Amino acid sequence: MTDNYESRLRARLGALEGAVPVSSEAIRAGETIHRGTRVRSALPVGSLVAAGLVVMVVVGLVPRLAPAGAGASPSALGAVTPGVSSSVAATSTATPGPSASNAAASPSASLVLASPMAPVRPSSISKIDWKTVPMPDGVTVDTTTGNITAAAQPMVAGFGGNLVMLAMAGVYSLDLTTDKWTRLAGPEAFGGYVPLSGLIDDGRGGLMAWGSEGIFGSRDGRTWQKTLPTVPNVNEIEFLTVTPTGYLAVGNPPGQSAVAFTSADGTLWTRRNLPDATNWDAYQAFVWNGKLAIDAVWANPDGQQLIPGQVPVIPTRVWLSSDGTSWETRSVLTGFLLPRFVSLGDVTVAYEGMHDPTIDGRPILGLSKSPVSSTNLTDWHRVTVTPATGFTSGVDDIEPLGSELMAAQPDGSVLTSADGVSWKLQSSSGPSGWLQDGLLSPVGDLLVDTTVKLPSGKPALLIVTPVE
Amino acid sequence: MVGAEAIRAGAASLDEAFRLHQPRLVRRLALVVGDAEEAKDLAQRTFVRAAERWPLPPDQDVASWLSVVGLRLALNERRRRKVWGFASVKETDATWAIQVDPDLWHALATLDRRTRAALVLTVLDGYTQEEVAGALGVARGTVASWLSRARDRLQPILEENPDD
Repeated sequence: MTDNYESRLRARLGALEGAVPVSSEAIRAGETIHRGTRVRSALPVGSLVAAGLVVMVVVGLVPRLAPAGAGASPSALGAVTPGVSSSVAATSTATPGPSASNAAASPSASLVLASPMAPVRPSSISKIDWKTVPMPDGVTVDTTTGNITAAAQPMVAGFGGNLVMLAMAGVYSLDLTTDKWTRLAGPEAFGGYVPLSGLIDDGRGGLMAWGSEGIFGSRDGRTWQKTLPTVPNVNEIEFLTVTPTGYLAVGNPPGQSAVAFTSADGTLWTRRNLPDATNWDAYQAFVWNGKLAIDAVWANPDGQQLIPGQVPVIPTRVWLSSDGTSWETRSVLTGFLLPRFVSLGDVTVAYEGMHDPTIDGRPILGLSKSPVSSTNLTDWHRVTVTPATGFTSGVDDIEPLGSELMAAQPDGSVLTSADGVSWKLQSSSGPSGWLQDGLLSPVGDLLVDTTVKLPSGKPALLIVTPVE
Repeated sequence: MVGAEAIRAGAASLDEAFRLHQPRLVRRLALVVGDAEEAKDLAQRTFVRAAERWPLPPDQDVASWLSVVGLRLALNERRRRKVWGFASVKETDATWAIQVDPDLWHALATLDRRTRAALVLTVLDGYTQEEVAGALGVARGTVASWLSRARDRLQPILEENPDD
């Protein structure tokens, strides 16, 4: 029977394969259409390049590519005075998900000028320190695919005063005083190897990891137990965070609505249905002002036409809950392709989580490089990309650094902020190119990038420390 | 020899590799991602990766390297693809598949990309489950689970039309 199954399948797959239309457009050795782009959470940059080029050729826009940010649609982003932060608001509320057509056109999905912002709290970080620590032997970093899983980029978290790293080769602990590594477990701890995509300190002296096979927990980093098995039709846990009452995880069942899971102890999980979640993809879970928050991106089932040089008006929604049981839709934010959210107390900052695909250094879509901040998840305040604000090359990543936020730019320069509104350009930049393939992970009061390389080519951790 | 120098020196053989392997790579990727346009783009990205690393080590099988990198790129696209579809380029147009074998195509569409990747690698390329596990960075048991799930979905289709 097996032979019949496989031979029939082989024949029919072969017939399908033979029907694929294949063109023979040439590639030039060393072509660099993707060099310098980085994608968070597996975005289709290449597809954007291809599709963007097709559209641009059709409408004749190629010679008029605007600089990043400059091409953003004013109607989508609101009027902004260069060098001065402005205030914008997202329309709120629990409106149903937009239809395929009105997702891009609905006036209610646009940012508009809003109320004055909270008082400015200047950054008190006076200096950023950097150090590199070579990875232990056997640990590899594969930036070939840009995968955001431990298979490509080791994950790190704080644990017992040390730093714990989950890599393809196993689990390691780094003594931050001596820079000595200890191997805690091999891949067999996860039944061979599991493509985990996140690792956190569980806040109770243990660790939690998540990914396409569910959620794992460990008390010592050596032995791991699966606490949320793969749920039928929930192929992947997208994000997990520690909350004041336990834990919050989000996932996206194929063809279904985004779902949340809550747990008080990290072991027993309860599925939570989110209101009006059809066609929304949950992307992150975070805590805002002591409440549980989930951001989701409108997943247009019919496709979304992008216009080169114009920021797509595709909404992002935030669900908010005090108890994990009842959820409200707090706001619909537009102006980004795929915003990332980072929260610090009552301040939430959203920024473009995706790099604008470039050709020869020129951005194709003109995605916004400006972060926005909010203290109520309804009114959003935008910082422009100008020398006056310190945002000169756009946001690569924003993460908590100690008691403040740190924004990293593609050129290696960093800014810090206590309020998400006023940003201080630090004089100390990271090593050249350090952010090109990397992600920053908050580990206690530190930030860690696991994708840097020493001059010798050996992979290393880059540890960022704030000095107040 | 590193960087651009290596790329220039290896350009001729890379071109040859492109001519030899690009059509097959596109076809394989199209089965996994379900879209010929995306497959072409992924193949292009795969060759850009190859160009950056060219020449590959002498003991590296070029076709295997391209397949693995291409499939990893395809899996990395994941569900985000549906968020940013492009109506203008008809990225979901799969008339080529529907005209040939609509039943199988629709059944394949119920499987996720990882499962389709494992299916292609084992059934068409002849890789073992262990080799697929190594290529995709998962446990062998995971691959076995995917293939078992695929079989549950596909076998009825194959038995309905045994002569196809």
